Amino acid sequence: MLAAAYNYRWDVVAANVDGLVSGLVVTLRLTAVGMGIALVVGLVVAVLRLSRSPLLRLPALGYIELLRGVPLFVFLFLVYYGLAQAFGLVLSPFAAGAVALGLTGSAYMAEIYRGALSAVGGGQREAALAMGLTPLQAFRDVTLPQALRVAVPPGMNLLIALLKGATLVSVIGISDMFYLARVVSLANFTPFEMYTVAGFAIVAVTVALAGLAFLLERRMARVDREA
Amino acid sequence: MAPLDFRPVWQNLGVLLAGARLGATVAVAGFGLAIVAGLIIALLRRSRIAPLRWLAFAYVQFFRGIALYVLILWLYFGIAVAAGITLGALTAGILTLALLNSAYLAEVFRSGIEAVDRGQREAALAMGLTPRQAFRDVVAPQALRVVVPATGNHFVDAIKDSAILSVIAVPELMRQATSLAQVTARPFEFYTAAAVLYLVVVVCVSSGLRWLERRLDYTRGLPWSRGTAVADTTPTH
Amino acid sequence: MGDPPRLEPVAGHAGRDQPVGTVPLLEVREVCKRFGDNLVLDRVSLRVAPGEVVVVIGPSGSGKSTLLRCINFLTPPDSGDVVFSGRQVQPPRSSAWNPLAGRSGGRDLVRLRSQVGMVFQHFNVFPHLTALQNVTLGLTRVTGRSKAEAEVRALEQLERVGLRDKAHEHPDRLSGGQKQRLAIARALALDPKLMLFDEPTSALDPELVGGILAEMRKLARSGMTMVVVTHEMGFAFEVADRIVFMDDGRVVEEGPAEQFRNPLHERTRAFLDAILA
Repeated sequence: MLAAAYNYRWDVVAANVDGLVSGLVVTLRLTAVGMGIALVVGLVVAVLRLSRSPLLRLPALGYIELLRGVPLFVFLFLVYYGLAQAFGLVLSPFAAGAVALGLTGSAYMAEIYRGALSAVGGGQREAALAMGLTPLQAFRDVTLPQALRVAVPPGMNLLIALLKGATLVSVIGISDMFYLARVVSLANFTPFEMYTVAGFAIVAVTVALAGLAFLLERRMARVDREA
Repeated sequence: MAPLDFRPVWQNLGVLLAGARLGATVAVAGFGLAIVAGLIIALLRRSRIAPLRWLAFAYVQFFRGIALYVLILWLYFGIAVAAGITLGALTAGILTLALLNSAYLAEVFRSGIEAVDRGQREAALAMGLTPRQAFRDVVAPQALRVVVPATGNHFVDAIKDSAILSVIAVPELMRQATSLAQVTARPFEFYTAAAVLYLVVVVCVSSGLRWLERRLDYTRGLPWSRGTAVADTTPTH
Repeated sequence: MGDPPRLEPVAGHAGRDQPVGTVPLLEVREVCKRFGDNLVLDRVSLRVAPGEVVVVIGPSGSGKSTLLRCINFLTPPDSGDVVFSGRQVQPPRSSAWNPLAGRSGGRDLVRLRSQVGMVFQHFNVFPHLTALQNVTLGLTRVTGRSKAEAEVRALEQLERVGLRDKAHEHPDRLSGGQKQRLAIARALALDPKLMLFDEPTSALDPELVGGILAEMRKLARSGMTMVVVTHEMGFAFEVADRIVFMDDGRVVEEGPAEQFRNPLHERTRAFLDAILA
């Protein structure tokens, strides 16, 4: 059986531009909040992961392996539906999305920090200690600033990954571009137009971020060459 | 807030396991296609013909830039409908995984080939090896070793990504968990079970890959490599 | 290397006329350090009088760098004492990497380290800071000076090593020799009572070695107390008040520089023949 010829209606897209834009803003906001959580929690986990005490190191290791092993999609449902049922902890879709995205991101970010902290030579810390800086000062003023530079390129990749992950939350009812695309398409039968525009919007943002990451990386490659 | 009850999970474990098996099959099929396509794209990226290079570059940028969830909605609900194609959910799922991963793998393969020092090929040719022998016996084994860890990481991601196929009703693990969670009103138990099953698969595959990396590491056991860790999963170049 | 060693003492040297052993600035007593099965330092003792320049020589792996690092507890000794300025330094409780492990060793250690400058083989200048910031970091953080005061003092120090015009450059714009000068300026800015040099010229291109040695010579003439680990025997014969030869974690021979023109020990002789050949 042949389907009837598809009737393209780009006017429907034009009529929904405002909705698409605010949907994109929701995705970007969610990404930003998720990345913020990942940056902060990730640093704490990384420091614990590098600790000599197994009491701190092993839980951090478990946290990282657990969250990197579970798909974000599954974790999102567990946070949104599971916590409400099991513990009466009812989160808004945005909050659930931010928590799932942020915690998953923090596991990846912890590994990024760890690699970056290890990449800063031990000689740097020693030189700082030899000058009389306390271990905390040596970490804050010497090791960490250098590690953060090393962490920027992989951190940018994580940001892009989180942006892609943030698109998932329309499944739990956040009104982002894809939620809107579904609703509008059901009413007007315009799935091709709506999903194409929404898809290209996401690609445009991620490609722009990747370009930015590339430029940053090239600029900083200069600074990092130092024994 | 009812007390947790995992009995429904045990009763439906067979369904969940069947879903996991299907998800793994889809991931393997999609990833297998991605390896072939990725190799072709990688070679096109190094082609002498500029338009082919640009096309390959655009392909890589586009599919690396799009999210799996977005691509699958677009392909399954958008393009297929507009083109009047009847696309099965399973086919759409495999295709999506293949498209997405081929772009990632193309970059992995390209950097793998480029990571092998040019001097290696020159030394092989200078010994009198043919270009084919030089590639097969000298360049390829070294490139393979560079490429395996990153390829493995993408495979693990493909397995985790297969959960997203549930949005187009591919009856894999996450889809089964979602249905059962709704029917039994026990989302916490079923999503926890799904998380555990994914975790088990991911951990098993990851350790298998680490074993493979160790086997491919030809410097292992040589006197100068003694004591150096082989557990590092990221290539240094 | 080509430098013909001179015999006459360097004029105006503060430590010259002081009988060694009366008031040591630094005293290392019976220090032991073990890495795994390796006994790197085996009851090593060392006394350094104020103004004295001690050069430590020996084959690689003999423990000379470890000895230096034990003095400021970068490598805490397993046993033995370090007495600096008449005060015994408490060893740090933990040298764990973890910044949350606290101020290991506490105030005593920080005081010691701020009074003992160290120059490393691989410079260890901070690549994320400008030359000026490399020097001001310790001044503001350790001695608590204001930023303005620190910058004035830092510029003086950069001037002293000939890097004033590089003050706002990052280290990646400096040559190896300039990096090492920067490291010296960074240490001197804190007004140390003792300077430790850990093979300061080993990582330099041959043509840059002379400049750093000249810098160190200048410092020695100004009366700075120094402990120097080096293979530069010309420098050792010229500047050292005392040479210490280490092998296998022990001090084999020590004495005035002249003694090493005709060493007492067979091992010292073999070592010197090998590196002077």
